[in-house]
Amino acid sequence: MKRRLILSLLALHLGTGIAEAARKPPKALAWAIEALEADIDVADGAPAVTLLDEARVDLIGSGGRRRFRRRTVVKVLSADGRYESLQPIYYGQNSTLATFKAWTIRPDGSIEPFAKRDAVDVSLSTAAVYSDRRQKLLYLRNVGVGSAVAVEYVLDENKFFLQDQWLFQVTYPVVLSRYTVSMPAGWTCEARVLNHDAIEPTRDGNTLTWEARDLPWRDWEPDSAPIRDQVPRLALSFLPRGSWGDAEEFRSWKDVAAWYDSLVSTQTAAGDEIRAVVAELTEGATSEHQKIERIGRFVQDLRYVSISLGLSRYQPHAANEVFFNRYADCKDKTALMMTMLREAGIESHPLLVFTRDEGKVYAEFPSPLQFNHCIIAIPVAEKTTEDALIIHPDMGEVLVFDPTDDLTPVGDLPWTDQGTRALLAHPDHGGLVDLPVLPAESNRAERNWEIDLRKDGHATVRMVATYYGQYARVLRYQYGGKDDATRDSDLTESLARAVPGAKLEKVDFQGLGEGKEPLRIEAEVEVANFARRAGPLLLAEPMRMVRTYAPDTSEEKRLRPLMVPFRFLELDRVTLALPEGYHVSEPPEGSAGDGPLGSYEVVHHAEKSRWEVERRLTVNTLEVPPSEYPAARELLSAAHAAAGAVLVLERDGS
Amino acid sequence: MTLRTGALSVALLLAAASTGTAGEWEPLPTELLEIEDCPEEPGCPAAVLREETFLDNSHINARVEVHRIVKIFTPEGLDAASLALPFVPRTWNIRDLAGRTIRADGTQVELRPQEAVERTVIKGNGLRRKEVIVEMPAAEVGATLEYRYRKVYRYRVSGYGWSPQGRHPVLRSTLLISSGPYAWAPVALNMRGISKSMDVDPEGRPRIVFTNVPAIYEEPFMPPEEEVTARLALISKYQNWQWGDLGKEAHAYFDKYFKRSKDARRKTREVVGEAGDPEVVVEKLYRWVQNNVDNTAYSETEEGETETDDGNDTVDDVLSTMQGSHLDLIRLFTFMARESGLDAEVALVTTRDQAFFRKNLKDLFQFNSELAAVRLDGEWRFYDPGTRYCPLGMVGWENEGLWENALITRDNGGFIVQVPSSAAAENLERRVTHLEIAADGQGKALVEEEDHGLAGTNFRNDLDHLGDDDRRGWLESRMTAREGLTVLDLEVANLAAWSDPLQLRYRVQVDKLGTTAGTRLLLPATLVPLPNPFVAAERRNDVYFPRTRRTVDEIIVAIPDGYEVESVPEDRELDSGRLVYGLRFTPSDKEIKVSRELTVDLLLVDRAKYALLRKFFEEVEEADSAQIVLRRASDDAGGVDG
Repeated sequence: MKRRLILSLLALHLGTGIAEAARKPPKALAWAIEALEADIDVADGAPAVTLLDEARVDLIGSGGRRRFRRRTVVKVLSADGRYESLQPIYYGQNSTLATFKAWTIRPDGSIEPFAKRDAVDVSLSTAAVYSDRRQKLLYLRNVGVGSAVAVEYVLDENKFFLQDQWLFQVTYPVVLSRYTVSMPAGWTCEARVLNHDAIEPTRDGNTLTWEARDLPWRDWEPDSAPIRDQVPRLALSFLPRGSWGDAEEFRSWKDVAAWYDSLVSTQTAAGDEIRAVVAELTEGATSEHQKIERIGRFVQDLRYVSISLGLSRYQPHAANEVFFNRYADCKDKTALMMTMLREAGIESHPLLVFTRDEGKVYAEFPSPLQFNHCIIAIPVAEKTTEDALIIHPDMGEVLVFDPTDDLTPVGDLPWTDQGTRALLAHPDHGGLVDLPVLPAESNRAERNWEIDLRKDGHATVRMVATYYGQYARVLRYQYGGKDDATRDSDLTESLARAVPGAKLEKVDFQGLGEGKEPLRIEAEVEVANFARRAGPLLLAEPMRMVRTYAPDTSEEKRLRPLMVPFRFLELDRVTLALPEGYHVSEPPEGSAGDGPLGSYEVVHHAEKSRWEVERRLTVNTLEVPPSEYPAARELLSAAHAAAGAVLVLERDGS
Repeated sequence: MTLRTGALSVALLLAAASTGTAGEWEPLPTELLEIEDCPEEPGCPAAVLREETFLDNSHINARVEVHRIVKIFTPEGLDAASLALPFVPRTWNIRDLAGRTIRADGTQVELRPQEAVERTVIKGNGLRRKEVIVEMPAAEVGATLEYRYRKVYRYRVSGYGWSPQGRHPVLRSTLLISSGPYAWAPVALNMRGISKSMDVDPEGRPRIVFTNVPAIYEEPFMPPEEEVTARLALISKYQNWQWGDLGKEAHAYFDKYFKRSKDARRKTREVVGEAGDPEVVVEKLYRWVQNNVDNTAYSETEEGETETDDGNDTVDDVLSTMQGSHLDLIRLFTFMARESGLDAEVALVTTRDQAFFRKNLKDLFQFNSELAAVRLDGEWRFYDPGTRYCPLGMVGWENEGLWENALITRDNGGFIVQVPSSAAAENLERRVTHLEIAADGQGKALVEEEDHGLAGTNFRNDLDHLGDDDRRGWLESRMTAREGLTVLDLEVANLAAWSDPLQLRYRVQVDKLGTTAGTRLLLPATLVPLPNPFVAAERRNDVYFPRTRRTVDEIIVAIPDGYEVESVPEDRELDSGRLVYGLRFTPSDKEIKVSRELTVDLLLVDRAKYALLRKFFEEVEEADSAQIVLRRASDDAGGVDG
């Protein structure tokens, strides 16, 4: 009994000690406490503020070995910021997580250390995408408004390249972001600051530090150009002295191109099976273009599976292996297609791309770190009329093709590849090239609508639509690969959502699976209450069923550029047969306009018993800067209003 | 463990078996290879042509042997070639994976098991889930995939749950059972429309064959996953316990939890005071527990974490910290009710957000929550102090029974009952909206809303931890059916006063609410229309509403200066018993009063009645989208002509 009592007292004593410690910050956390003392002046609505985001990189001096330490302090300003209670640490891909610590610092100054049992370790592989990338997810407790979260971790890394990038900001406002690198004696580095004025580093021996302070909040906006192109970024190339192991060093784009060319060219040996299939595919082909199309189709049809472990993050698997397995990622497909084309007597080269939905490629930083996709460049000997061409100063016309996107045929280019800067991995002519942007007419929708309106407001709507280019791709993605029943059911659902009371009676797709031909859809729809009855009147919106791909401009203003996936043209012609005994009261007038986004025109034609509306909308740009956004918004608003005009139908004689 | 070393370990794990199995495949019957579509679901992307599962519990380590033959019909079906075989380290492992692909041209490619990768799905907080992932080689449209593997347990299993249903239709699935000492009896669940037959194999082991098992489909308002998945529960025939035995055991457990203490008795007396009327006693206790004991189930959910055991073993533990899980609060209330002389028990409950209770399924784990049951005037009533802000006499929606779903524990065993579900009228949402419309069509409205019953409970729990911006965002998310609507401000009253209706008062602005057409201004009949949630023509699952509801709207539309009413839509009344809708218009010189009501007083609707349900909501949607027509008044009445 007495022993128990003593133990209890001891526990009480220890408990008090622990409670005291919780109020008094440990010395090891002085950096976080210092960060918390900063004056905060941020825009209203910011969920949280980054008080400190600090990276310290120690280059070990042997190959790409380095130690990376990161410290962050984020203060929660509103309920949305409470998601900071989840702190992810990414590692894997040639790095191991050496240590990690985290703390919740409450508004009253008390400190709750993170309990390691509250961490989960998650693989970031998903179905058909195998990667050694991992995430340690820390769940911090008691993170409320006014609390701060401090995290510190260390990674031991072995990089493939003697290069690095550091984003000074993601979206939250930043008080201080700092990057420090300590290099072995004799090493130098080339640094560029992107999306921001130059930042001069401070130097202490061979340790350099860059700092950015007081960066404003960059709130999320729909359809925005990628955030990484809006925030300050540090891009570094380290230049070692003497022998430095296996990690690659790049001083120019030619270096990067030559490196990638050598990485791919070792994987393009063809076996007998490949040769046999190439012979079979090209048999009877009458032109170079036809051969490219057939081989391209074969490669696009391979199942997409990415196995990116170690160097295979950059290097494709051997073409014979890919051919055997019949699955591949983008670089595997490129290497296999190069192999097959060569067997057909056609030269080709890899093109490294950073897809436009992810961001831009900066010419001043020659690095493979700037790419996330691989496609193929095919110098063409025969003259071609295709749009997906680049004119190379040494190689002439070069056809650009994406063997991964099975919905985009030879001659077209997925929108994510259009307008980007790519690296041609050629041993002699390697360097950056600009990929083409296909004109609006290439991506067009032509739709004819015949509407038979009855006196009870119900209508039969017949549509014949033809879609081209990336416009067709959007619909192929939505409806392709589905059985008829599922497709009809999906169509019925989306119709009923868009137009209550609409029922699909008939639909026919042509060219859904074959990207080379335009996609043609014919449909007949019965719409209950197409026109709404209002006493003796019928209210009909002729273009009610017409959908547009125009970007969302519901936001009044924007701070970031609006991104448009591709240029396009929509041509709609609606003919409304009026119910017998009705006429249009106060007919609407047509209108037209143009601006930074493109142009529109709506025209009404009246006949005795028919009403015809034509609409032409052209979107001619891929990005609208914030300064031009109000004009673009106004244009689309006017276009939508003109197309959405309601016809008031009165009985004759009233 | 990184993926790379994981791959190595899997290779070692599988190597011995794979070298022994490669090349030992039986030729597939021609009739299988010639199948080109699913007979019951034409156009399916892929199908499991044959699946054979042998559940062998006759060893000290249970084994499940799986052999599957899958055919790919369309590019979408290629996902069938990505295998992910889950396992739980130290519980069961995957062994002896082998496979082959028979290409469309008849050539064959062997799976190389050394290419299988082991990945940690999740690790930490006591959880560890892994899976073996591998791609079947040379998969293409027209190819047939054949593979097999074994799940090997570290122990013999006492029961087993199994499902023939997955992401692709299954044409034929056979389950062979060797139940070992447990002598399992299969209980079939959710098997409607699936044909099955049962026989014994030459060794006398039971064999069940399922044919044409459809794929699982996601649909809006569908029952929980457990209730839409065809499954077999294998339960030992030698189980001779009754539900009453569970009631008795649980009752004994709760008695220990209720271990009397001076403090707990004193607190009970303090709360109850002089009250003698049982109804008053219950109300006082309920109010005290709801308002004073911190319900950690909610604070943890807010942090995005799962609820954990708070470590309370007795009511004294709860009272000493004044906090506990939702179960602790229910048990504390039950204890205090007993201490006050009432006949009170803890009831074990199956919550229908997870599954529906089945009396014939002898599975203890069907009961996953608790309620307090108090007998007043000879009738058992249920109380739910574990659901924060739940009004007295109601229970959280998931506790309401579709049928019998609770076991009231008694020292003699107890009995199974249905926890009553609330009527739609109890969960009333009432709104009064004053709507003004400008000549350019912009609408502005002031809305006063009252939310009763479980509507108030749900909304309170949504709102109570949100800041002002997020509360406005929450409100906007309830009104997405009206495009261009922005909530300008929101006042919340009675947030913690759960015995009164929750009160919301907010102003909204709607761009282009009205449309001009010449001299006319067209207005929608309602501020926020009721969209039809059942747009699909066909339905595969039953329809399931979490709770009953009734909404009543009164919208007063001010007629803008210079306009007069040209026409209003016709009044509508739809009444199919448990589904009721009404829309009425009363125009006057200055305003139009629109009254709308919708009652959904049902929870589970058989899919056979889907067409009726869909038609009702179509008509509601159509009525709700009606237009009011205003017309600019004639200028003839006056003015200065110059």
